[in-house]
Amino acid sequence: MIKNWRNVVAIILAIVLGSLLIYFGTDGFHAFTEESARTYQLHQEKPLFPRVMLEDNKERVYPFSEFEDKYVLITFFYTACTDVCPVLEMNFAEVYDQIPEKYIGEDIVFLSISFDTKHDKPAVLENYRKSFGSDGETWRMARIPNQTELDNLLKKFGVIVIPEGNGHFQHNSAFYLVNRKGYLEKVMDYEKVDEAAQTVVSVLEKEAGE
Amino acid sequence: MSEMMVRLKSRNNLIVTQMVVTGLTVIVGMIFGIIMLLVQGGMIEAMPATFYQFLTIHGTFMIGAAALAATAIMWYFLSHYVELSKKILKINLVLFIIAAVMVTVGTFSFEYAGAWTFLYPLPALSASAWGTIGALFYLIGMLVMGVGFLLLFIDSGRAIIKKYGSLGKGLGWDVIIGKKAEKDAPPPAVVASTMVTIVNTTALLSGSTVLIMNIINVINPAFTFNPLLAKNLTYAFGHIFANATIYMGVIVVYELLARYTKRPWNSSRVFLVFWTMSTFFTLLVYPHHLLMDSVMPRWMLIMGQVLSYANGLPVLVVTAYGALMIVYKSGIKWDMASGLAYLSMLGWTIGVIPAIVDSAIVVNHVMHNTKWVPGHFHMYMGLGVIAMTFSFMYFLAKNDNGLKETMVDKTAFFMYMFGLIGVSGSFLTSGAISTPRRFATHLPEWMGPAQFGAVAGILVVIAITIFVIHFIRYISVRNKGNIGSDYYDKKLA
Amino acid sequence: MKQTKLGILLYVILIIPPITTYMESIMLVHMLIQFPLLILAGWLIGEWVLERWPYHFLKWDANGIAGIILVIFITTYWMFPRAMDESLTIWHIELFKFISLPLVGILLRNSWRKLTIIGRSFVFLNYLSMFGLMGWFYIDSPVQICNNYLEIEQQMLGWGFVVITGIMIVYVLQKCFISGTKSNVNQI
Repeated sequence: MIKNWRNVVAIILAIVLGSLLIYFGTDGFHAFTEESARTYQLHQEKPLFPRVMLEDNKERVYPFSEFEDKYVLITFFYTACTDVCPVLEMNFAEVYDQIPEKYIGEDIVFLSISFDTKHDKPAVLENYRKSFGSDGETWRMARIPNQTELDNLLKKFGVIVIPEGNGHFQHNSAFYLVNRKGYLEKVMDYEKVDEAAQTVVSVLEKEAGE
Repeated sequence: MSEMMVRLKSRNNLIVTQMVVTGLTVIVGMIFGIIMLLVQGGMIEAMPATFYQFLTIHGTFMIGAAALAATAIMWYFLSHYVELSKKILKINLVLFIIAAVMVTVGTFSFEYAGAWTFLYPLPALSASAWGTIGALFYLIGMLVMGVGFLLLFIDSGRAIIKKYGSLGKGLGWDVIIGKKAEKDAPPPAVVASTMVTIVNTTALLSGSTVLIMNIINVINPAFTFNPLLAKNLTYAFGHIFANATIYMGVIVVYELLARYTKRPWNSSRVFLVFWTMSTFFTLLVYPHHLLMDSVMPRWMLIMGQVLSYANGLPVLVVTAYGALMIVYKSGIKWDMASGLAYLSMLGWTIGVIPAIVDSAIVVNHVMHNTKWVPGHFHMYMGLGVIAMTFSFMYFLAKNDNGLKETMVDKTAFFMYMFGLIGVSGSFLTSGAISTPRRFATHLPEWMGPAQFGAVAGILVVIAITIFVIHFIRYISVRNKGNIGSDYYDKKLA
Repeated sequence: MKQTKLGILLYVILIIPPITTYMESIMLVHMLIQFPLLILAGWLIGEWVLERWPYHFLKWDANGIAGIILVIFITTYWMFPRAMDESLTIWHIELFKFISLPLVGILLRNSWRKLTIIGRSFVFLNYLSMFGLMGWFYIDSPVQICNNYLEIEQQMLGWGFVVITGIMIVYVLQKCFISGTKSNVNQI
């Protein structure tokens, strides 16, 4: 056995190195896809919502700081989308309905941001919001006219948008909760409506309790 | 002692160790089985959650023990013909023990209770009955066990190919097509080992695929898989792996009867054809576990049903017939080993009948979720594979140092036989009165057979304990004295 | 040293930015062509490496086990969808790819010939079932696994894996059943 000690050491070393690679490669066995890594990282980093100018469904133009001192629940979508976005916005509406009325508009605002700047003009957004029962005030739909600002925001929040070239996009979806100071607080699974609504309510209640 | 003797002794030592582990595992598994029947019979109280933990450990231990014993039988006799690696046998045993510990920890410390079939997506979706850790312990434990067996069958495959040229030749295909004379055909032990090598390697590969898939799903439930494909792979693994134990165990019947009657058991052409048929059928019949899944392609279900009739029968017929012929007018002396070998043939033959009844699609829809099915496999495994296992144990004990059998052993033989007939009979009766299987609690009218089964089960455990004690006595005698009077071993030397 | 030159040439071609970008733009090509080619480049360069430091390999990896363990870990890592994604967006992961995969090739060249038949068969069969699983995983996944690739590409990759698994199965079958003469058998 003595003459083999180098081999034994090499084998142990290989196992240790390999395990370390897998461990760090998956944030400690947490994230095997970039999407889960992204969510994990966002929760760790809590990035600040960057300075952007929004243009909403009523053609109002204002900076994001308009919502200062309020929570903002955000989705990213585009109106021409035929698969995920209608579901995303439908679920968004369900979350909206589950939030107690006293908070709506006062403590929390809903905001759907389109990343299809060219096509989704205010008139289009105005039309689109009606089909989901958004009131256009406490739940607004907006675009970011400046492409650089938009790209910066998408990057900060880890939203990936791949143009398919025929007017459609492949993109990832989630609910983003930004806190009163403009920092990203939570990223939630858009398919789990009840869970997301509960999370939002408990955040609001916790604050009220303090 | 000559060098040859030393080599034989070290080989036999490994086999003996493996058989002791098997014997103890079987006893523990059976005790959990009896407890479950007692719970179902309303004689003792247990939480349903606990019942399912017992169900899981009983199934896993029994299948594991059957496989471990059967591989020991296969390895022991195959090593007379081809050169197998002792190191691999040792690694397999070590991995098996590690796996048994992991499975036990997962089941009892972390409350995993998803049964040994770990059917997707149950390991991840337990309604918080158990957590991720329990499921992972169990699944990774099974994976570890699979690694050991895979190594073992790679080794047997390698050795057979080395000696005979290819796995096809190991099955005697060149004899079947007439390229080689019947007298040059591979011996039955090699044919059976080749068959098992083929089917079990396939089973283990599909098993490891579905295990890793389950592990991924447990770690990250967002990754879901097609449950139907998962079920197919699971049963391809489970069915073949369980079924193969009897094809390994039967080697003891071939070898033992040949030695006892001093007549060679040669592979005839019919014998080879039947074994080849069973090789293919074993790989293809697993869909009979999915007869109730209406989404399965119809042709697969029909194939499952038709081939089920054809699956066990060829080898069974050729073996039962051969066993009768070789004994006929041979003046064989009956003892525990040959008695158990014969009993195993009986158990196998009778155990196949309820299985065939169940694999008819029409019957299956009514019977498959009743205790009819456990009735069938308790007969087939309990009276078949386990009898082969203990036949081998008695054979080793007698052959190695001529340990005498006593009246106690003979009594145990009959206790074992009637006990297991009682257990399987009680299951079949329960099935006939539509008692659902895998129910922790029984209605009063279902309790009778369960109580009877529990009592019969206690009889079996006592019998098996006597068997194992005989074996342990053999080991203690063996460690003092000399070994080896194996006729074949001498010829080899 | 002909192989080494070939390997270096291959490696250089693979790191030419337009070629890298093109290969990485298609998921199937990224995983099933670029990765294997990088490993192949390593394998070829291994000729020189093994000749340059023969004693190190002999001393530290006499039975090939340490090497093959590293190979398994590294290739497993690169089968995570995340690793592939991140190699596109994070530069040091991309760099790691161009170092680790050729390393796999070098280690493989050294280890494979040292492993016993049992060891080789074991590794081969495990990759067989692993590739089968990857095929299933990518075809069947209801979600987009990689943020940088479309779902349809993901499925294409899955079918690529299925084809590879199929080829591996055919290979095993012919090894076990057809190559009948004993001289062939020893080469498995």
